[in-house]
Amino acid sequence: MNFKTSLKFNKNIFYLLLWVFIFSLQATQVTGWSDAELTMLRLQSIKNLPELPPDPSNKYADNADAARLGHKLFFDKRLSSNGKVACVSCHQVAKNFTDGLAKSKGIGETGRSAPSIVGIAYSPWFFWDGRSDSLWSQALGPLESGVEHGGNRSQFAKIIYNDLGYKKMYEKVFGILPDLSDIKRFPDNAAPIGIRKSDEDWYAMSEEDRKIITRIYVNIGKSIAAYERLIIPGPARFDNYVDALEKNELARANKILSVDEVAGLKLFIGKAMCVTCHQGPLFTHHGFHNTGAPDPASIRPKITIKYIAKKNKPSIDQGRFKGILLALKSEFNCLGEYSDAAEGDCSELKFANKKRDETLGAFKVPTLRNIVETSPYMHAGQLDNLKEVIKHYNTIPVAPIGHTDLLAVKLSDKELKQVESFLHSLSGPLAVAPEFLRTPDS
Amino acid sequence: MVYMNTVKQCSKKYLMIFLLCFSFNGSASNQTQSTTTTIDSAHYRVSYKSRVEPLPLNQIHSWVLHIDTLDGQAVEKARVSVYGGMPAHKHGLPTEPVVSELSRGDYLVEGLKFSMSGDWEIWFNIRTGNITDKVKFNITF
Repeated sequence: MNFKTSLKFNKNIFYLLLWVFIFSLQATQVTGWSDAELTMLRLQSIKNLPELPPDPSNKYADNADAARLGHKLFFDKRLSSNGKVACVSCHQVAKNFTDGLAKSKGIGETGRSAPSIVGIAYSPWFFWDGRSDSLWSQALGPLESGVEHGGNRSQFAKIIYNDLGYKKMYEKVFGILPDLSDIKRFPDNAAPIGIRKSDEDWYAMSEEDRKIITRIYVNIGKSIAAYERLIIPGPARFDNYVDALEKNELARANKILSVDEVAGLKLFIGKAMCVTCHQGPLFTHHGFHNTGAPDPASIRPKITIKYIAKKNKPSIDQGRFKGILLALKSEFNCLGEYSDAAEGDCSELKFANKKRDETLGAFKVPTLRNIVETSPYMHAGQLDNLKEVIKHYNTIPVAPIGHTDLLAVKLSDKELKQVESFLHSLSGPLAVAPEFLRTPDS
Repeated sequence: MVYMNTVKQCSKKYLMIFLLCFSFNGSASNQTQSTTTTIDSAHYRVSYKSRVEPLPLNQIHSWVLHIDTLDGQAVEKARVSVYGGMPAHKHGLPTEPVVSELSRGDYLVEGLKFSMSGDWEIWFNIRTGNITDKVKFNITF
């Protein structure tokens, strides 16, 4: 190899390396994303959603027959005191399993907004305040709540017992139902729910009979949970955009999201720090934060409020602070006798943070999947639309109780609109078999 | 020989130019969190090892904490407590971890969880006899 040849050879290598460098630089400039940002986008993609975590507290969690029973129960209005309220009343399929109300209405008005159940089985805690540590124990709460279903466990057990279709489905999963025909042993309406007649009838029963009824009630919850585990989000435009980026199909990517949506996404994972809490493919880390959401009473005061004596004024929702205390003393928690879990499976409950200073006024971080379809927002629907929500996070108001965890991000008006635009790209069809989104056959 | 030296110099020159160019390509590397770290306080040399590797985000897990004196003697029967959080967000840990002694300077820290990305601090308060000291580990996700 003479000098000229060697020099030419080296020049060729140099130009080749330079071309590789320029190409990689151009790729970054064309996509507008750095390697670190692309990694983050992949982590947020629905393709990164893992298999459903097991629920050791519910050995029927992934039983298909239990899910079919749960599907029927979820839609059944007989599971209420007036025959007009079912789970689906507040978790409506067409509204991404919410009801569009600030405060949900069952037998009466609840204190909070019904959260979506889409992807909820990935969470270790349930309800806005996490007062349940399993999906099945969550399902039991509204059934006996006086303002939601308003029913009682004895009533529900008898619905299963007296309906031949239910009885057959139940026994296929849980074994032979006990004989509940003796009205003296098993009154029609009995439960420890703070209603005098129900309580008297409940405590007049033997402990063994109370456990028989409670076991059926628990199995209703475990069946509903098995159904709810099937409600999983599907790919949205955001996911298709990330897919196109991964395949280096930039032209396709740029057709999927608008310029504003891409700018909003960049803010979401960057300057606006939304991804800090809304992280992972479900856009939530399932934790609790005090975001200084306004006191509902200050947003939509009832006319009568001003006439209420100060001492009777409704107190501000304490959120997680009360929620964890309720979870710890619940008969239906992970460590309770109706749980199928071993003690080692209950780490979330065992190590839960109970500190008042850190839990007061904190609420669960919701998923942002299909968020456009789930207005109004915050735990009691205090904010009507996403514009108000994003503005709230930008201004960091003083928390009505406890202290806010929010940090100042100081987005411009244009940036606020871009973040809002991006949130629209998170809507997509559910990855659920169609029959589970319809009213079940009778 | 002169030719070869010139060739080598040219190769080096091109290589340096290329490396210089590539160093400006601005690729942000992903920071991988170590699962083993040692730190000295005024009285102790403390290290931790996560039982889950790599250090997991949003998952309850355990560490084994090892405490030595500065001259290398294992510290036994210490009273150890743990606390921490994200100072920037003004909140503490999402869990209440529990520390129990294993043996020969090892302590089991159960119930740790880092629920979100960002900068975390984990503090261990260590007391033996009349000596109380604390060490801080910085964790970044």
